Amino acid sequence: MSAMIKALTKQLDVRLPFSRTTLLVAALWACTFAAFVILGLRT
Amino acid sequence: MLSFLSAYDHVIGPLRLLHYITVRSVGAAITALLIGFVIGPVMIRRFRELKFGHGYIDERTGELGATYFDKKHTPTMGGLIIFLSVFFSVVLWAEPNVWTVVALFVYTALTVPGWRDDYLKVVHKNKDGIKSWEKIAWQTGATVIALAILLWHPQSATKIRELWVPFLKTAIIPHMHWSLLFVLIYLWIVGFSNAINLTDGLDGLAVGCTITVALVFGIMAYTAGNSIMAQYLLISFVPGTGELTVVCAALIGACMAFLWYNSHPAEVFMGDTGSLALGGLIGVMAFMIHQPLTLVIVGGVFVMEALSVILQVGWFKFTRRRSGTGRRLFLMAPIHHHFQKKGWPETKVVLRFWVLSLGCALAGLATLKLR
Repeated sequence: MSAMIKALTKQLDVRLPFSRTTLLVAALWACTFAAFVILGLRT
Repeated sequence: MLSFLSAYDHVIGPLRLLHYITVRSVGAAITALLIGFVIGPVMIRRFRELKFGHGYIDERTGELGATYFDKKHTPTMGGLIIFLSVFFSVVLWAEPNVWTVVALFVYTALTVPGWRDDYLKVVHKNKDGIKSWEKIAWQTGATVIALAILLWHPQSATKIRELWVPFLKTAIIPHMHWSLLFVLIYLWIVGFSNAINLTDGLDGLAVGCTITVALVFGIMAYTAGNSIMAQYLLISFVPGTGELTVVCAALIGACMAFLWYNSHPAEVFMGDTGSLALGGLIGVMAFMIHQPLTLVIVGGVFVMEALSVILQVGWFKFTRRRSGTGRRLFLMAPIHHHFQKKGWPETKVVLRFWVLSLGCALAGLATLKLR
C-alpha cells in the first residue's frame, strides 16, 4: 500500500506541481468537508 | 465544529463561550487571519518557484502595466490563500447547518474552475484560460446543487422561497417558484463572480471591497438569525443564518491576511481562484439572509465596475452600428482603468474606491432600519 502511494505521488509529482504535503492537505480538507456536510445536513 | 464542545460546559465552564456566535466569529476571524499569515508567505514562495506569474502581456492593461509597474512576474492564484484560511476557520468555528454547508459548498465549487482557469493561464500559457462553457457549467452545477439542498432541507425549504427587498416590512413574494429562485440565485452568483473578477485589476482593490461587504453581511446575518433583533428591525427572521456571521468573520480575517500581501506593490494576485469564488459566496449568502437587493447597494463598487464594462461595450456597439465608428464612454473599462488613464496613481484609485465601498456599506446598513 505504502509503495503504491509512493509510486502514485511520484507520478503526480512529475505530472502536476503538487507535493505530498499538498496532497495530504487536500485529503484532510476532503475529510473535514465530508464531516461538516454530514453533520450540517442531518435532519 | 468547536461549538459541539459547549455541551461539556458543566465539565469545563469556559466552554460555554463556544455557544455564542459572537465569540466564535471573533475566533474565526483571528484563525483565518493567522492561517493566512502562516500559509501566505509559504504559498507565495512556492508560486514563485513554480513561476505562477502570468508571464504574458495582458492585452487589457498592457500599456498601463508598463507605465506603472511590471506585474507580469507577480504570482497569481492567491485566492487559494483566502480559500484555505476561510475553509479551515469555518469548519473549526461554525456550527454545521444547511446554511453554512451550502455557503462552503458554493465557495468550494467555484474555487475549482477559478483555479483551473489560473492554472491553464500560468502553467500552460493559455491566455484564454478555461472555456467559457466550462465556467458556465461549473456555475450552473454549483447553483443547481446548492438550490436542491436548500429546497430539500426542512430548515431552509420554506425560508429560501421568500423574496425580500430593502425598505419593505414583509416579503414581496412569500413563496417563490423554484424556477424563479434558480434564475435569481444563478444571476447573483454569476453576476457577482464576474463583477469581482472585473474589479480585481488593481492591487488590493477587490479584496478591500470584499472586506466591507463581508462586514455588512456579517452584521446582517447576525440580525437575520436572531429572532429579537429581526422582530425589532422588521426584517426576515431566518433561523440558523446567524452561523453565516462566522463565515463572514472568517472571510474578513482571510481577506485581511491576503491584503497584507496584495497591497501595492502586490506580492501575489488572487486571480480567478479568488474572484470567482468570492463572488459566488457573497451572491448565495445574500439570498440565504434575505438581502439580495441590499447586496447591489453594499457591493456598489462591484456593480459599478461591471456596469462600466457593459456600458462601454454596449455604447461602442451602438455607435458603431449607427455611425460606422465605435465610440467609447470611458477612456478604458473597467472604470478603475479609466481613472488610471486620467493620470491617477494606482494607490489613489484603490483608496478612493475603498472609500466608495465604505459609503456603500453604510448605505446598505441604513436599509436595516429604514422600513
